[in-house]
Amino acid sequence: MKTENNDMLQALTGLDERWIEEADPYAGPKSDGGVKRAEGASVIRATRLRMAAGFAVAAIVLVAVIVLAKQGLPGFLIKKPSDQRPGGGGTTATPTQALTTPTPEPVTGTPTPYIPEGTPTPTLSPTPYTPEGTPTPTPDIGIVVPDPWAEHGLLPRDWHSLSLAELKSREYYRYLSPELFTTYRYNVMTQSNKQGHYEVISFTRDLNDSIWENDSNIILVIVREKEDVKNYEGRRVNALDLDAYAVIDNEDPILQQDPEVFYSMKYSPIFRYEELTDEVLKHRLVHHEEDGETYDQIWFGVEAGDYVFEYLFRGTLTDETATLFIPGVGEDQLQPEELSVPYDDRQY
Amino acid sequence: MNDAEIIELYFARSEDAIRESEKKYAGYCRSISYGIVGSHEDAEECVNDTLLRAWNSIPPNRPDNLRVYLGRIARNLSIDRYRGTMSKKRGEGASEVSWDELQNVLPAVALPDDEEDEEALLRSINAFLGEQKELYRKVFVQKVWYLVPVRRIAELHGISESKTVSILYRMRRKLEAKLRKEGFPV
Repeated sequence: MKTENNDMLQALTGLDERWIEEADPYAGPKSDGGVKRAEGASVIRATRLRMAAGFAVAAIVLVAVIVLAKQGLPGFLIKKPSDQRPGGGGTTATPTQALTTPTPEPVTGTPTPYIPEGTPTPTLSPTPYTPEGTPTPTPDIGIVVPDPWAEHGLLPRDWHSLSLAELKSREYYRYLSPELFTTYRYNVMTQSNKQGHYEVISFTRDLNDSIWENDSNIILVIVREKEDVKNYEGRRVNALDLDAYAVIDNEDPILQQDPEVFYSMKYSPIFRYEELTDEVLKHRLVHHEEDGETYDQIWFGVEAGDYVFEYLFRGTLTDETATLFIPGVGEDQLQPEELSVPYDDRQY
Repeated sequence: MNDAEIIELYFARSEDAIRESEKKYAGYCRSISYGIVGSHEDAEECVNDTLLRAWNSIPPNRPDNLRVYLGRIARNLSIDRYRGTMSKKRGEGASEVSWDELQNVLPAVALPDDEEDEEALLRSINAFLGEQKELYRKVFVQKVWYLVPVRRIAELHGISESKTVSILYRMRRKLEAKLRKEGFPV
C-alpha cells in the first residue's frame, strides 16, 4: 500500500472531468487566477482580518439566544433547533505513448501571470441589510434582526440599535476593530436583567444563510462592564475566574450541568493565534454530533480595560480555523498596553 | 480556434497544434502549475513539458476536453516536479501554503497497489462528489485538484476562510466514511 499524501494527490488527477471543469477556478470572466497567490503577507493579513470579522458576523441571532439563555433558558445554545440544520471515473491523463517524436518548437512564452477570465472578484458589501418585515432602523445603522428569530420570540422586540457615531462614543469601541463596524452589518443590543446590564454586539455577513445551517463559524461579542460581571450570578461568574478556568475539567459540576464551556483568560494568551491551537484549549471544546454532522462550540471571555468581552465560536475547529476566529480583537488591533489588566486587580 | 480544430492539427502532426494550444491554454496550465510548484520558472517549464506531452500523446489519444486534458498533464508534471525539488525548494513561493493546507484535506486512505483497485477508488470518489452539494464539491476539487489556497477559494465563493476549511473538513470526513464503508483501508 502506498500511503503518502502525495500518492493520493496524484491519484486524484484522474477525477472525473466533470468535476474538474465545474470547479475550474480559472474559467470564466476575468479574475486574478493564480497571480494573487504570489501576493504578500499584507493580503493574507487583510484577508484574515476580513475573515475574522466575518466569523463574528454570523452571530446576530445567537446573541439573542444567549441573552435568553441567560434569562432563563440555560443550555439553549448547545441545542440547535433540529429543523434548522441541514444537515465516471477518469483515468490518469498523463499520456505515455509516444509516436514519432518530432521535437516541437520550443515553447517560448513569457511567464506572465495568467489572468483568467470571468471570476468576479468577491466583494464584501458594507451595505446594511434590511430584511423584509423588519422595522427599519435609523439610517446609518447596519443592523439586522432576522425575522424568523424575532417571530419565534428569540429576540426581544424592543431591541434597539446604535448608530456608528453613537457606537464610537462608547468607550469600549476602542477595543473592537473599526473595520468590523464599517465593513460588516452589525447589531447592538442593550440588555438588562436582574443580573445587570450589558450590551451585545454581533456581526453578520450573510443573513440569508441560517446560522444553524451554516454552522461553520459563529461569533458574537458580549460587552459587559466588569461591575456587571461581578454581580452576575451563576456559572459564568465562575467561568470568568481564571482560576476556575484552570481547574475546569469534565468532572466539573459546571460542565455536568451544562456542557457549555466558558473561558476567561487575560487578553494576551488567548489572542495569540498560536495559543488557540493549544491542545488544552481544544480539549475545552464542546463537541456535538447530530445527524452525522459534527461541530464544536467554545466560549471564552476576555478582559479589556473595564470591560469583559465574551466570545462564542461555533463550528468545526481545526488547527486552521483556530487561528481565525477572533473578530476584531487581536494582535492586529490591540496593543498589549491598551488592555493590560493586572491579574491581581480582578475583583470577581 | 476551437478544440476540435486544434486536435485535428495534432493528428495532422502540425506544429501549429502546439502554438494554438499554448495560445489558448498555456495560462490555464501555468496557473495550475504555479499553484503547485510555487515558482514562475518551474511553472513555465511544466507548461512547456505539458505541451510536449500533449504532442507526444495526441494521437493516439483524442481528448474530449482538451483543456482538462492539458490541465491533468500540467498537474501531474507539476506534482512530480514539486516532489523532485521539495527538499531544496520547500519554503519558496506561495504553494507551500497550499500544500500544507492539503494535509488536513486529503482523505487518509491507503492507495491500493493494484491499478484496478485504484480505479475503483477513483470511481468511489467520483461518485461521492456527485452526491455532494455543488458548492462543497467545487471547494473540495479546487483544493485537492487545483491546489488553490484556502483563502483564494474563499474569495472565489464569497465565503469565509473558516467556512471553507470547515467544508473541506466535512468533505474529508464524509469521504473517509464512505470509503471505509466500501472496504478501502482508511
